[in-house]
Amino acid sequence: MKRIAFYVIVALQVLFLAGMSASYYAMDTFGETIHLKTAPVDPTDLFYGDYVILNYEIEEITEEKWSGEEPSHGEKVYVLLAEAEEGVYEVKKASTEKLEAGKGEVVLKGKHQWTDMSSSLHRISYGINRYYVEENTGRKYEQNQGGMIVEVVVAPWGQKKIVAINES
Amino acid sequence: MNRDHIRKEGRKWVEKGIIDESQLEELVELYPGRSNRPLLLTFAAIFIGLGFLSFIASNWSAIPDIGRMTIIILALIVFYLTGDVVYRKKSRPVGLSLITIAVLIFGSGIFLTGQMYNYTSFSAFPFFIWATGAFLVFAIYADRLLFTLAIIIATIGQIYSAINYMEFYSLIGLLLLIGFGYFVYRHADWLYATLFSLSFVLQALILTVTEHQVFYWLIVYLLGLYVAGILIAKPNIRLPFIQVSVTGMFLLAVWQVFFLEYEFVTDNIDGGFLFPLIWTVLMAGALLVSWKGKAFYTAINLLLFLPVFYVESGAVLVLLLLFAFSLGWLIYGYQQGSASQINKGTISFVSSTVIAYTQLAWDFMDKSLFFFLGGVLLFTLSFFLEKKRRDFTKRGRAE
Repeated sequence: MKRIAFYVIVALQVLFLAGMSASYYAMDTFGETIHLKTAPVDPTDLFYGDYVILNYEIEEITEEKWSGEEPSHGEKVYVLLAEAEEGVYEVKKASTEKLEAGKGEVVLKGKHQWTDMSSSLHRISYGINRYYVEENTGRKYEQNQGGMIVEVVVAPWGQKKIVAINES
Repeated sequence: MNRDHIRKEGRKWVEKGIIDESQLEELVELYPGRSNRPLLLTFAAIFIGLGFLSFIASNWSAIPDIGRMTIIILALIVFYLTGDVVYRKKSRPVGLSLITIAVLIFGSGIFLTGQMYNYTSFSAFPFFIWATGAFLVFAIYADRLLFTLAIIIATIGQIYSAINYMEFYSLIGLLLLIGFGYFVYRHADWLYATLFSLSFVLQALILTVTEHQVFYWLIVYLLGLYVAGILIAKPNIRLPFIQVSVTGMFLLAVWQVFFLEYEFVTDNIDGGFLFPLIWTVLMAGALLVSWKGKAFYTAINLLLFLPVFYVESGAVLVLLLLFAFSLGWLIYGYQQGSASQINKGTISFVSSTVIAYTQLAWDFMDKSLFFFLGGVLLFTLSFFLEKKRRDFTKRGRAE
């Protein structure tokens, strides 16, 4: 009896890890592709060898788009994006409460970083700020601070990943 | 020569009819048993685990994602299964060490996979999964090392939640109370009970700081632990529960002596009726149990739990409680001739004196005078207490 329980526990642990990995690959099938515009990055920060640092326009959200409670640092927030010109997604609404996505819209989960009191801008991190590239190929992105279009896949269960970077 | 050796040899003598089974057992008893857990093996397990981690970590970026996943999962399976086989067939300590490594691999696997595939965590959920996995493995083997590992993971998860999210993670709290609590009660092992109560106090502190924001709730949790302790008849649980809760409350009382003077602390004390209600129920229960158990003298412990902070000059009153607690144990200890209670009283009396002195004299005195007089005070105090203790021991011997 105990041995069976032991094998079940080991199998569950393996399944948990394998599931974390599998869901990443399942995103290609079930996820929705959106395009996001990058924001300029401090040039010295941009390139780190095998990955490029990306900042997005949707990471800064103005006060008027915010609804509900004031978020605290590290809190989970929901950001509703809607498709705008040329298929680029922009922030429509943000909240600490769950949001419903309509057609041509998608909800991203992010982490609240801080609120800039003077400009009342909320800074959100979505955890997609690193794009891994082959070593020494990152230079070409360096010239292009801001204004790049990043292709991101968003899974229905909230996971997301960068698929490609295109120069606009 | 150890027991295993004698048993192996003795088997042959029994077969030849030189001695019988019960004589063999008697012979075996004469030899030292093997120590329960060779310390070296535990360290070996930790070192190999660390070596594994650092090796993988230093080459991590060169391995493709699928390769990394394969390494993690294979290592997990190999360590668990080998550990289990070794545990059953060869050596329990070695088997358990391998299983301990497997539990560590599971945890690092969660975080590495999360990092690899861009998971963002919003709570201590990864720690909860890790702690649950470790807890279930402990439940299979009921081993002290695995218990220690699992409860440390759970506690670190709660600390992580407090630091990163300013939040008490209730699932970890429930895992402690229900999961670990069940095995503490069932096995009645003093180590389990001690670790459990330490983790309980730490998590209660986190809960108080992050969710209640008023310090007095910690008194309720400590009192709850105390009541649980006196209700449980098994001494291996009762003593650690009582000791940890009383020590915790002593420290909280010391904190009150210093912090009840600040407005940011006293402003939070409100007229809510929930705290007085729960407190009264627990206190009444504690008094009733000690009275019925013919151990009413233990109510000395309960002095520390009194909510004197409601009164204007609460800090001074808490200080008086500290002294009442110390003197109570000193007097009772001398009356009953119990060395452990005299020690408890002495230690708390000396610390209370230091606290009182610091609190009352620090602001008014020149610093060198402060230390000088403090030293003289402690010297005198220890002289009288020590003299009394010696007289007492002598008398004890004479009788």
